[in-house]
Amino acid sequence: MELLSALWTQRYMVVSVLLFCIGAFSLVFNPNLIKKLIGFDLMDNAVYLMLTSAGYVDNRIAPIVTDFSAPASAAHFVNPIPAGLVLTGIVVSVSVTAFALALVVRIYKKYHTVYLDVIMASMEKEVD
Amino acid sequence: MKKGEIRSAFHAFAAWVDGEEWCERPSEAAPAPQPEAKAKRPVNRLDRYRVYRRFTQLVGALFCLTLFVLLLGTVVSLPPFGDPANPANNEVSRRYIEQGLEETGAANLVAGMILSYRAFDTFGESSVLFLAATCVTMLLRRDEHNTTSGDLEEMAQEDLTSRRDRDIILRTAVLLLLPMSAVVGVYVMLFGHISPGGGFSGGSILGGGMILYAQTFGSGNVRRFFNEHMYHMIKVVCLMGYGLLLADFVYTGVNGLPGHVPLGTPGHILSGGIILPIDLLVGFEVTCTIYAFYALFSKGEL
Amino acid sequence: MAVVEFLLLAFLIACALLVVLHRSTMITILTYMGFSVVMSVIWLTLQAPDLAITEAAVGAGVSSVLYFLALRRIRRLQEEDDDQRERRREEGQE
Repeated sequence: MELLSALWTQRYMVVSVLLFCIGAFSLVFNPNLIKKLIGFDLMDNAVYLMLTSAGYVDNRIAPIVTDFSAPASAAHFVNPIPAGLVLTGIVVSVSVTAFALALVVRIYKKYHTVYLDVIMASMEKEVD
Repeated sequence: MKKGEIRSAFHAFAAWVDGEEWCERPSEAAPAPQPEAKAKRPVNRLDRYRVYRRFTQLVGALFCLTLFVLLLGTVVSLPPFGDPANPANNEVSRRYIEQGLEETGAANLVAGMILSYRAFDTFGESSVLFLAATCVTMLLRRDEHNTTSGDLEEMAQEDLTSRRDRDIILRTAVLLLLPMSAVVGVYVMLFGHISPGGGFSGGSILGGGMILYAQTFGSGNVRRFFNEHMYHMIKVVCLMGYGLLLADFVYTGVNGLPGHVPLGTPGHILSGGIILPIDLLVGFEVTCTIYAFYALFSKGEL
Repeated sequence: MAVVEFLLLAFLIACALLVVLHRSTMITILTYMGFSVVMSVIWLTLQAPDLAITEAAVGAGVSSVLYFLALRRIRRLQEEDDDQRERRREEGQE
């Protein structure tokens, strides 16, 4: 029971660990290159989830000032730093996805398949 | 809608992308295009790799399980979720929240942080986007070496289809959606320092609108107002404008001079100093990049 | 609120498992799209609206479109390969 409540307190972290492991499995052990890429994106999302949940504080609101009369108090807003970092990361991950997909298309043009085992077999054949 | 209709709609979509049949592993998995390579050796390497793959998948499952247990053990002993006393909520974030509005003039503290305190970081991010677009251009651009007759046929077919029998539902929906996506995109870009949003999300929305337009009315219509020359111009000018603004901002700041861009009244649209121009520049660059991704992946040219 | 959070997180994990385990690449990509949409709702519950907007536009929109386009391009190349194979087989028979 104690373990369950500890897991529930850390629910976002636990989910991000799960997503990370699922993504890592897909990235390393799925022979299909496109599914490898999707696994990579899952890992990205897991890291973002973990970062953002580290900056969340209960009962505080998003860091957007609406009352301009008094100086903003740090007790009202959640931490803006993880959100900024993740915003950068999301855009970079799309760039990486586009680049990797372009590489997959080129690999298909050369080897006529996206399955890594077939590609490796035909590469071995080339070496012979 | 009946169940059969849903299925057929799905199949129509699947036929457009046509992933399903291709996803079934081809029955003769060995690539046939080089049958004359070496017929002497009867050892089937593919079978060997398959056995190898079974083995690695087993090891992989074990590896991932171990990783999971290790990470879970770490996570449970991390500081609790949502606690104000977490080490992540240190003096840096307190400073950003308390002084952010005064120093950057942006009501959206996240925008103030990434485009003013950490503008250099975001400049690197824009450069990564630029670099990605350049690499995709390098890899997928059509020229006489990598164009096949099938490519040309397909493109001619698509041009004909988009010119003659456009789907009326798609056309009407896009005509309704397009102004909205343009307005929302520009709004999100312009109000990035006051409300959630900013250059990256606004640019993606605008780029999505352009993709919709190109998909419905053919990319020939897009080329009338957005050609390759313009694409290069906008991309380079936006990135260099960002660099110059940032250089000016950093130079005046380091030397203790007042900035050239006034901070304005908080909450008004003309506020936030360099955040508004940077948001606009980044937004247009992202729009170009995203449309370029679409055009290069689908046609191989802008 | 706790129930909603639990449902969202459970959906996230279910989507991730389906993405990894399903055979069809098309369904994988569609599921990944759903994953991104749920992710953007989770950003809202974590009080990060900037991320929600960006994830909805970039993650669910642009990156799925990129996956679909790459899949379509590969499929088109595959058709050409099939044509060539057919032609070679016919020539061999004659």
